[in-house]
Amino acid sequence: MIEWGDFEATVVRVLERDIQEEANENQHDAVSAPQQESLFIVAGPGSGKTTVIVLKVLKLIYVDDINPSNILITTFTKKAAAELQSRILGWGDQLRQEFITSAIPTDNEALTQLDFNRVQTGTLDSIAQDILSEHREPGAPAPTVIENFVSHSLMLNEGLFAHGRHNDGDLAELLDDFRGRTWPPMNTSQVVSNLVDIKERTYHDQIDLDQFRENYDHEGAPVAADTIEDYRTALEEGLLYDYALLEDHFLRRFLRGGLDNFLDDIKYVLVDEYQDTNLLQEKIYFRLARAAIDNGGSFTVVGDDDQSLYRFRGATVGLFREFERRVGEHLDISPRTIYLAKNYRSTPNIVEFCNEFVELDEEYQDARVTGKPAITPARIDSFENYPVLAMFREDVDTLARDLANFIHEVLYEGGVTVEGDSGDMTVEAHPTKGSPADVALLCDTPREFSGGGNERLPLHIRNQLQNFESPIPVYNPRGQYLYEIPVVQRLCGLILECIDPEGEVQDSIDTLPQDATDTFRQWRVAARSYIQHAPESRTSRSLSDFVDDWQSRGADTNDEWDQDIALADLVYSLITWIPEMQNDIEGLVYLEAIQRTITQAALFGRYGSEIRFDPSEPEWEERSIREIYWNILVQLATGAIDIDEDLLETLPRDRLNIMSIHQAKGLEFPLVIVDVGSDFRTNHHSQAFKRFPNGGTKACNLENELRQFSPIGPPERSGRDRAFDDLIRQYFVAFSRAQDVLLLVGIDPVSEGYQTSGGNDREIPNIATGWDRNNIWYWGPGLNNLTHI
Amino acid sequence: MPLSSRPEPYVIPEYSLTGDLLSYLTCGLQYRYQNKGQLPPSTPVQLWFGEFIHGVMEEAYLEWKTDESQRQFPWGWESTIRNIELEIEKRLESQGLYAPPTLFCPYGLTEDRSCTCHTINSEPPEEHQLLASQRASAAINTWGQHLFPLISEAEVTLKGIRDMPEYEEGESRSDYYGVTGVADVISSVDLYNAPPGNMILNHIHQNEQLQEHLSEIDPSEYEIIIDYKGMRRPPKDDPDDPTWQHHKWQVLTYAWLRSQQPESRPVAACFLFYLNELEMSQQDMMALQQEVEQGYTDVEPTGRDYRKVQNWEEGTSVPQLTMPFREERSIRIIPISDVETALNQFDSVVADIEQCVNEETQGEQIQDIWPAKPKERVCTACDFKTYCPNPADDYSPSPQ
Repeated sequence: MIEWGDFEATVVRVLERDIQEEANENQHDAVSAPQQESLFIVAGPGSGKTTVIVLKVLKLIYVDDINPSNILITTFTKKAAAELQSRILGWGDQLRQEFITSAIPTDNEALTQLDFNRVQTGTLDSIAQDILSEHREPGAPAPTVIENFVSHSLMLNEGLFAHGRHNDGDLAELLDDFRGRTWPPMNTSQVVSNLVDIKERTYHDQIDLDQFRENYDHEGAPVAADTIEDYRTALEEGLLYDYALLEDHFLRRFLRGGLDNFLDDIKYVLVDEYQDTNLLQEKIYFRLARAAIDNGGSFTVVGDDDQSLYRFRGATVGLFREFERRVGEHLDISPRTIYLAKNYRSTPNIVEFCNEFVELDEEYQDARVTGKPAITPARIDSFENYPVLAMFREDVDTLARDLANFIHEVLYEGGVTVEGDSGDMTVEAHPTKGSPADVALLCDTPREFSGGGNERLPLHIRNQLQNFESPIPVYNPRGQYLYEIPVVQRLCGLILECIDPEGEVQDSIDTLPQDATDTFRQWRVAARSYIQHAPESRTSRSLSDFVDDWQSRGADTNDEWDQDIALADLVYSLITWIPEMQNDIEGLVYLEAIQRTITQAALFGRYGSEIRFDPSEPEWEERSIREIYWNILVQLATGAIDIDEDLLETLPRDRLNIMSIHQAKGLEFPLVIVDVGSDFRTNHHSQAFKRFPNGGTKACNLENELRQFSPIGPPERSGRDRAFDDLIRQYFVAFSRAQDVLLLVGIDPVSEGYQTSGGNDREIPNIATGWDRNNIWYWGPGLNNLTHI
Repeated sequence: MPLSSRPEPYVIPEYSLTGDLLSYLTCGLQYRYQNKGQLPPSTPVQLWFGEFIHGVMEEAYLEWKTDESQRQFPWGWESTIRNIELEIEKRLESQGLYAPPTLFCPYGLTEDRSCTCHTINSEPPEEHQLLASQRASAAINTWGQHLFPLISEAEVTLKGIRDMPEYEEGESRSDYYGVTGVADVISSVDLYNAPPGNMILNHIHQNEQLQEHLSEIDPSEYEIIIDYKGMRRPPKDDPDDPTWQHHKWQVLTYAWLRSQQPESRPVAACFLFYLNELEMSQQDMMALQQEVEQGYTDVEPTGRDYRKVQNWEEGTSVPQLTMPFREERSIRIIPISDVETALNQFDSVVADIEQCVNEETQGEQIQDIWPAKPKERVCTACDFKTYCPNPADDYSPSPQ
């Protein structure tokens, strides 16, 4: 339709993206590649990957005349998919208008008819769900996918409790073997969590469950296999899918030929974030790719092994590293390898620092794509080349105070002077467009409290930022568990006080996890206090009267009591006295999480998240409340429910971001602060897995034990090596998020070492502060490679 | 040289015509809570029936298409339709949507599911055929048998983008917005092959406005868009109820979206089916009585139907009106004209929603931004009525 030269020139002129060969040969090669040429694109951080993907798609449509509906793109998150699709729609339309009005000879009618919405863009799961819905067999329902907590509840109820397996000693022993320790003993929730992890692995690594049952040398193996089977049966009977089953079902439909009509239309498949693919997904992608190639098209994968972060969710980075060999064996093609190594995001100092960091550990080099070039700085806007900064203080309190002052000065007080290579430089936010949203604090976890209840840097920094005359708000949706948030405690406590005022039903359940009963106690205390001080509502009724009425089941008012009362109804009524959940964005998001839990719990409960008051069947009341405890309240009280962060999109944007390194994947910020050691006061073994592992992580153990029953086979690298590799990748991702300033923070023992009570000098080995796995500290005590402030 | 500033991610907001735009027009605050905030309705009567009847019609069409033995109408409720209903009900339950017991009895759904309509189980199964089931049967046997042979594409996803109204660089979220819908499509080719006596064909022939419109386009190359509504026919002339107009804008926008698709032919008309009209509830009857009295409805009863409507008293059983009258009330034909007005209307709704979103991101309070529209019918069933700043009545939270 359009000649390549015209396309390229229009992209450069209208979209201001220079994809000409002389500007960036590799981007040019990736976008201009013939439609039948499959590509293996290794894209370093900040290398313009999204631009390349979108322009490649638009080139296929405009230059190669491929129908948009013949193109399928998958990426890792819904957010990334939405951004890709928006760019395709936006740029696609901008180019169309330019082509129609320009002197370029075109078929304007054909251009007008182009429908960019037809490009199939999404996560693999969302695409699987859409395709299975669209191409479902008569009578077969569109798949309904459950949330993780429903998986946990089904595993608990159908896998464990229904067969008394929660008391099975062999199973407990097997799970201890897999997690690599016996102490502290696991509570019921942790047992379930471990079983869900194994179940996920069986799908992701395509484990033969029968072989595992028969051949794994442990008495607990058949019990675990049966538990997983019962869980699967429960899903099937409820017409439900978890994400792993959805993908498995998708693959089986392909293999049965049930999606041939769909495959007939596929000509181009592009998979983004391929480094986090698992074996099941690889099989799906290869099936899609086979169809695309047979239809005269091609297959492109994009990713970066150095940014693979999801082993714990089943990702196998080796599938990316060995992509060329595997795709050759399975599809008989030889893709062209393209390295996108020019970094348009960061300053030369940050790029150099990232390169040095990722090349520091010699053994890690064997885990990387062979022949991969270092990333090179290529920022094209104006910038200062600040040195990489460090702030280490004697304790976390002092660190938080000084860090908050630093942030405040950068944002509002004319900046902070630091010593650069060629004299003093000022770190200062943009005078008109600058805001706290330009700053991100990246941590291993953004939780405000440690597992032992100690206050962590994210909490300290939030409090310090609140102390300024004009407080700096933070955005940390994962800082607290839902059950710790005061307004949630009040609401959940009110639910408890209404449905089980004396806690009789609660006390009758002897298998409730201790942490859940502790939380219930806190909730009730919060509710009782709130009942005394609740604000007046717009109605004349008081909260106290309402709760009294519930507790007496209407006896006080002589109202006839309904036989079935939906818990969701009770919750909405209670909100009448909780203004934060009426008017505040965050409050509404918490309410959504609670109501979502209630709705999803109804999917598998016998009483459908309702309380039954039937005078002829008095035991139903207790049973239905008991079910609410297990399926809803325990889930909320044990941290199984997450908020939906997408619903926070309308929060005011001027907030400082505190997030995990995983959350920051794919993002960039002008000023990035990486917590490399605010939690580490000594070289304590219990924290080693976060900085300098003694052995494999739980995910590594599962790989070791289960992959012998997978077509992929056992891992080649040791569990310990893989744990080190993962830490290097994690901090490489963190460091490479920074555009202008990278600041590493921690407490002094991490940078300088410490003395034991016996007067011995000790150091704290830590991958993030320049150690390699052979115990060599390249950056050395004092971290003198960094500019300290 | 100061630091850079972080650009916002580029995401085009997408609006569903029914799920977003019509919902916002019903009540802005309820839309904020229920649609944008994803707070599920605690008793989703309207939502459940809408999903149920769409699901039943779609599944019935699939059965008709794939099983030649199912080409004879009427279909028996117990022998055929009930199985479809139970399948759809099970599907809706798996999405967390439970049938209101007054509308649908799940008796026979699974072995352990007992009757919720308090019919004695030994009585014949038809006793469990509550209103939703009666409507499903009526819809299939009244319209399904004439529609199914004509449908060329079922459940077509319609998507398009439009320029963001009142776009301001740096202020607006995006320079475009996306709009979506789902509908069935009939092609003129299938109309020509329809057997004589096909009621859809009759309606096309009898509708003067449509005939006039067809005379202006190529009669061999056009399409008709079909949408089912799990509700009663809205009043045409009620100054306080703009639903009639909103539905017109909705289907005209469907027509525009369809016209953007490469394989489409010109859309000549949209047919809306108000399926409650085939089997009316007490509330439906009450509304009809009032509308007839006030002269708000466009399809008025005559003769015996008129007397039945006029003489009906609230609380007594709903009289059976004649089939031709019920059919007439359940079908609405909207010839395609003045699509631009419809698009402009929705542009302005999007502008209003985007304005609210923008104010929210500036830190304004939710209840101060999103307009609550008091309407008794809507408010009574609304979960947020006890703390709404502008409810239709005084509502007090009841423990039940």
